[in-house]
Amino acid sequence: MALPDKEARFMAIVNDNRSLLYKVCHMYASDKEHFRDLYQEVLANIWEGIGGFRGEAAVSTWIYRIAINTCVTFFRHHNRHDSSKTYLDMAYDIEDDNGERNERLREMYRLISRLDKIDKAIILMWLDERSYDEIAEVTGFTRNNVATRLHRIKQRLAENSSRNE
Amino acid sequence: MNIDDLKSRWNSMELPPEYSGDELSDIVSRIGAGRVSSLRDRLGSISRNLALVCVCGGVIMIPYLAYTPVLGVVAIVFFVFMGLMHFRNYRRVIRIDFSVMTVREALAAVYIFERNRTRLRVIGMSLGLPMALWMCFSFTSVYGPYTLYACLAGAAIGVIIAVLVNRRAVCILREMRGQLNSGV
Repeated sequence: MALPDKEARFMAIVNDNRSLLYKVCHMYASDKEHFRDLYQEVLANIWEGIGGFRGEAAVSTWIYRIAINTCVTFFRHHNRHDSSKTYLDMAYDIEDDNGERNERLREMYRLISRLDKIDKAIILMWLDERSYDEIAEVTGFTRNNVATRLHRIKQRLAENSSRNE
Repeated sequence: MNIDDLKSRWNSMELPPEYSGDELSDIVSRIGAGRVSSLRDRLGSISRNLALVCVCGGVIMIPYLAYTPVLGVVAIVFFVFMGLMHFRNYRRVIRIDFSVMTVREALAAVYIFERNRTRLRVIGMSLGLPMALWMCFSFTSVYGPYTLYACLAGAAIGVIIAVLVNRRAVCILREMRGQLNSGV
């Protein structure tokens, strides 16, 4: 692939999937610097993989695969971040007059941020209304396994949420 | 608030203006210009460079075979072994392709790579440190006592750095193994 074509294709893919990329990186980031590291790493991996993408899967599935794989395998070699914090609840502009509802949303983000990396991937794709088949394809689990894990994740979130109330 | 409420709002949420693209456009342009490499490429370069350093180490020891044949042979075998292991690691990491792997496969591949790096570090320290001390004492007779002091100081600093780096690597490996086990 010629460089100008590769650049044009890369920019088109990143622009079309900007929201998806931000959501994935924010889900796994604990602070702004971590977010920038993850975002840069995801983009670098997309750039490297773009020459080999032949359209066998949907672009969004391909992007999800790269982004989640990058975030799940990105382990910081210096422990500067506080794992109890989440960048997710600070990133989204929640326009709602209901302060209590906003606080509950932020609480839900915090509970999600405490899930392990693979569970985060599953719940993230489910929140984004991806099918069980797509989640299974990206994570490597069977469809039934995805359904079971998702059920357990929701149960755990509901229990932790009611415990905090 | 339950997760289904969050799901109903998830796709309608707007990203703040500062995340709409302009702030991070410099990252995108640097990526497109090829001025940013991925962590995988950087780790691959480290392994490749270590392999080259080992090759150089082996070549450097060849003239000393005439003076200290046993030390020379031991050092060359050590460097060849370590060089091959680092090169094997390099080949393994450049084959990691996040665009075709599942999450479980990607995590397992990175875990194996990091585990191999940690093992090589331990092997390098266990075998290399006694060999380095042997070299220090052998070369002192040729170059004088200050060589010994400098070599011992360098060895001590190297061991401290290696231990600290390895401790962090072991923590990361433990975390990765936990993620893999939770996925089974």
